[in-house]
Amino acid sequence: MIPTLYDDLSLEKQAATQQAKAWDIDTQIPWDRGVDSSKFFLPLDADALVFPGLGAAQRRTLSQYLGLVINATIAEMEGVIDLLRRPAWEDMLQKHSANPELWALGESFFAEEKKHSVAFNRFIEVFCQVEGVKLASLRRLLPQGRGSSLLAAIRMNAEAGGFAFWWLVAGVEEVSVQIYQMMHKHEKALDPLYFAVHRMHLEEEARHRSYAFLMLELAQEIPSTLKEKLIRKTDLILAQTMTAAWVLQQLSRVRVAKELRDEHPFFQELSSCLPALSKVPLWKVFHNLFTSAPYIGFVLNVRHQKQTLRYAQKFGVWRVPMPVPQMGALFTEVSG
Amino acid sequence: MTEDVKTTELRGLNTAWVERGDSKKPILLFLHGYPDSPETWGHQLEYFSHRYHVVAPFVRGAGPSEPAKDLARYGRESISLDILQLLAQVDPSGKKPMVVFGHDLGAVHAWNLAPLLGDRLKGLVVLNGLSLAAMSGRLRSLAQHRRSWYIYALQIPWVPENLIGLFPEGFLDFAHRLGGLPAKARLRLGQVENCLVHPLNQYRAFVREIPAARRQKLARLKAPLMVLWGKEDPFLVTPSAKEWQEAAQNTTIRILPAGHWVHRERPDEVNRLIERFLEKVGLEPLKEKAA
Repeated sequence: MIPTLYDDLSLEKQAATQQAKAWDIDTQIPWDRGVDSSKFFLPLDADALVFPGLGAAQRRTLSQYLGLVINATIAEMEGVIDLLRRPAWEDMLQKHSANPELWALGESFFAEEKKHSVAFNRFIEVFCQVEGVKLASLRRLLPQGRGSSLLAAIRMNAEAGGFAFWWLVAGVEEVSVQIYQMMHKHEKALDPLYFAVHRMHLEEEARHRSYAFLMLELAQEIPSTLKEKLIRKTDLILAQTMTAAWVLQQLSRVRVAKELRDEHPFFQELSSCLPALSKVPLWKVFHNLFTSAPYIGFVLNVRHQKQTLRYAQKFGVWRVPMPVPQMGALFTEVSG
Repeated sequence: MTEDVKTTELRGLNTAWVERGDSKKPILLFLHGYPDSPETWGHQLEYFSHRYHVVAPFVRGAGPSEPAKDLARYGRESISLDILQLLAQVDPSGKKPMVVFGHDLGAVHAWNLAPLLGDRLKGLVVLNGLSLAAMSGRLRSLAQHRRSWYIYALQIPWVPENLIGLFPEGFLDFAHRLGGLPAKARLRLGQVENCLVHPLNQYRAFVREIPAARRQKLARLKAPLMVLWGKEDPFLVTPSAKEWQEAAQNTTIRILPAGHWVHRERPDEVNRLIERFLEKVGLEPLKEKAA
């Protein structure tokens, strides 16, 4: 239940709860237990996203790679959020008067997002240390947000008075919760540290996810010119298209595994999955990514983001039409 | 409220105010706008008079406050002088801490009065109103001009006062409807008796003062400021946080889902927020006792 923008008592209570229950990155995540590389990071669907017919070891490596991609995506997205703090948040609240609770909740939101970004990056580093993988090499395979056209477009939109940033955040927040829900059912088969990081992340996401919707609510309250009205109508379209373009571009980095295959068995195993991908027609790759692929599909297809969709309908903003998701069951070594 | 109305001669004119509560307590000074009387603060006067010394003057020409022939007596400086003399009557020591509240045109007077009160002023609360400097800063805002049409209409000599004098009830109802005030929260004509005609001269005096207000470089208010703003105000564009921060060092902004008369439309919420503000500025009587 999201409180209204003017319900100061509820918002104040929420801000106090967030502050009281905020976790500590050093002491509350069991970093010293390291990564168990015999385990999956994420359960996979029958087709392993777009890599059908893989063997057990390949599926596990792909699950770990996907897990790292998800971590890097959230870390990058949440890092980008911090970069856009001024134009998309501070300037908006300065320009349009806002109640103190909205400022306080925003401060907590940005602090938490920064912390999450650090936690996910730290997991990637622990993985590299335990596995003996070079961090710089692994980074070549993982998403990068800084300097991207996504960041530039969202910044431009915010500077023009748009709220695409908050649609993007709303989507990412919702997806993070969905990812944890998928993991939760397979907890025993997953790497405990990977699971712990996502569980801690979920806790704070669940507490602060309403913030993006509050900002979107604020957008509706602001008196705007015709130009600003048009920008706000198209904010979600911009967030959707730029995110999709960015995600697809970042996923193509998996091909770098081929170049790195002699460097480490992890890269070798990953590159051995690539022929499975090339057997799938390109249209089917795209179709699967938008409809049946877990995690990636959650980001790409707004129909997975129920609350975001509800708000889009409530505010009458335009969105890119998306196919109906057809997600099947997920498996890990143990349950599959 | 009539039993609480006091009058005295100030600067040659009979001036009236409503006064309640223990005169030893800190003062809460409530300044009304137009078309209003101290009755507009009814919910606040009732709520706070048990713990504070509440004072709400009738502005020049309103109700028992004698109208002036000279337009300058409706201007900011003259009304500030009236209020300072009134404060000297209700607090002869001149040392009691106070918080000033201003709604609508009352906010213009509150802003003007604030620097004249020195350290006695512990806080300023503004409700859907601006200082004249802030209003004059909006001369380039088309949106504000559109909302300020009535200010231009009131500049026409003779006609507005005679029309309002002929149809006071209709005028009051029109203003309340326009300001988004629900019927049950509206003041009746009897509660603003003789408050509709002469006080409109404030608009005429202010327009003449605008050039000076534009030149005037106001010092940032040192006392804490709380802004309570009904976001559906059809008369004033909601100011930005930046606009307030330039005017005061310590600002709390509260946007409420209400129209122009936020204190009448959401009295419980407004009283709760005021109570918190008074606590914040150290004007909470219970705390004083403990100290």
